[in-house]
Amino acid sequence: MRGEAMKMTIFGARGSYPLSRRDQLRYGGNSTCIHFQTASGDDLILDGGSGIRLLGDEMMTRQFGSGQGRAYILVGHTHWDHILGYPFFAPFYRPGNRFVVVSAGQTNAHIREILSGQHEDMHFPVPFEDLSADLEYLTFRPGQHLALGGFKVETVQLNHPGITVGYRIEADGAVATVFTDTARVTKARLGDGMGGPDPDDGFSKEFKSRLAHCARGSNVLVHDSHFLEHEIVGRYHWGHSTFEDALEMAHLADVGTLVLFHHAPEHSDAVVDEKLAMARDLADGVSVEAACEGMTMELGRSRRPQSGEWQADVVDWGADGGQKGAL
Amino acid sequence: MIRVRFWGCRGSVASPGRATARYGGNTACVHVVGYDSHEPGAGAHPDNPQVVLDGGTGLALLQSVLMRGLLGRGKGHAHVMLTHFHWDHLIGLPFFTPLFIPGNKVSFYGACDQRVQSSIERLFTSVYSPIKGTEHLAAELEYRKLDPTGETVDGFEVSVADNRHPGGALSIRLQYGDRSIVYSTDHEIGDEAIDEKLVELARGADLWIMDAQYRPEQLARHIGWGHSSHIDAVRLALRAKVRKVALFHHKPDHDDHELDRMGLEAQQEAGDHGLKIVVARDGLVMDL
Repeated sequence: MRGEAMKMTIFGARGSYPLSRRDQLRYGGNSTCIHFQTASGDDLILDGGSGIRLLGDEMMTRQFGSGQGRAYILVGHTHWDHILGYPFFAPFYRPGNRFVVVSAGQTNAHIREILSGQHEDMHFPVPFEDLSADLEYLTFRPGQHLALGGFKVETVQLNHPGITVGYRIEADGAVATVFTDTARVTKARLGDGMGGPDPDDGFSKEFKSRLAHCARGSNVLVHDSHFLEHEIVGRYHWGHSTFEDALEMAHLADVGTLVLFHHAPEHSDAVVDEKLAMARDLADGVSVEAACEGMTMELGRSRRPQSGEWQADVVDWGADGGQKGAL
Repeated sequence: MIRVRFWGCRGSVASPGRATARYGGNTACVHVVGYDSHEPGAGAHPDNPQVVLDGGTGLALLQSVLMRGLLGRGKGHAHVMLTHFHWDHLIGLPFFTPLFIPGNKVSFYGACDQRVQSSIERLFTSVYSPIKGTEHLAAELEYRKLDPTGETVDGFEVSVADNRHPGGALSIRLQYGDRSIVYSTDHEIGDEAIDEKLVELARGADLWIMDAQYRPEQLARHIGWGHSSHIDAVRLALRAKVRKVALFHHKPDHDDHELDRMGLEAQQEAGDHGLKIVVARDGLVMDL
């Protein structure tokens, strides 16, 4: 199962809410969840949409089944479609497992309150306190660098209501960057602290270059591609992109492969096929794929991995260390 | 007459995928329509009297049907009845399109109006939703307690009884003309006093939609979780002398083959008493 390089597996590629439709069996109806594993077996999970239930079942066949697993969980943001699967994540219910939940939280709300809110007795039968795994919390501000065991992670705030974080994840010399739930910045500024909502040319330029810097030279860029161009008109403030926006970022950041992500629940497999074909027509040297449940990519070496000095702002040393917290 | 259409039959959490493609993976949502005419297609008219039972992920599929009627033009009134407030019965509501259209009214019903209201408000709070609060929804909202002594909603006579479920849940009976259905999801059979009240509620109904999450051997490991086995469901239905049972609230990891088997076993359990068993599936339409 372990290879030479970091491996990325998609467990949920759907945006907004999970949905079961017979015309969506190939791309899948589970909401967002992506799993990363280093060559040496370190686990990192990005988002806990409904796809995390299936990831949890897979993890229970490994050391997590005997309560000896540890993994990082990166929180992109806390809208329902990105968190509603956590209560159904089996490894949380096995004593001995350890998770570090890494998050920028939301304005005035700690991630623990947000996750435990899903377990209030009116809404879910199992209290949050009954999760028998050990959950720890590591918080950061968007823009900070994180050293998480075998992963080097960079963060950037995306253009979406509240606080939403894009992540650059590097391990084994390979880089994957995930920007999901981000809107066309030339049309709206949506995130907390972005000074929005009206467009601002200076801000747009600076924002795009900040994102491009974060994604620079990635092997893979996983990017929001929720809307088709005729659908985004009038919905610029909904917080999502088109495949054209995703391609623009892929070109700016000089990435190897663009993976279209966060498919709209209204889009059948045929529509996603069409979106992918149109994106490939305009790809101009970038390889383009559409994320589907079960898709695994072994990431080769990045054209521009970190070299020389790289300063972490927040560190968790992983299994062998124990020291953690802000430096 | 009554037309019932199932849009979500799964319990706990949505489980889309190839293994569940035939029965579907959406969580609880059932559309109940009343109509009087015998004309072909009368049950499909978008502005017939109607009630939505629970707002699980199946609601996302139902809403495209609702939007063809008055709700799509900002002139509709939706009646959404919530059996209880666990997420799998609510999680379709944050994207319920009629809420975003000015002029619509959406009434939410449940065992307690304050709990209905606080549940809906929680769905739309800023940490969980880009809407950042129900005050930003365009439709007029109403929160109502389902009257335990009975009431009439959009032409349906509504009566309720308590289920046995952690945190509580309601069974809901809807009568339209001489037809009736009873919806009992999230109920654990086994407390005689509670079961007897449900049997009374369901007596003689044309259709009883029943929680049948577990096989008996699974149930034995989940006593107190608030769900029933398909075998217990059939036995209770026989006492109530209903015509049909729809097995409902399928376990997320039960695949299509497993549900086929459970349907056969349930029909076998019903014996020759004239009780018809259906395994509810997303998209199933039943005209009663």
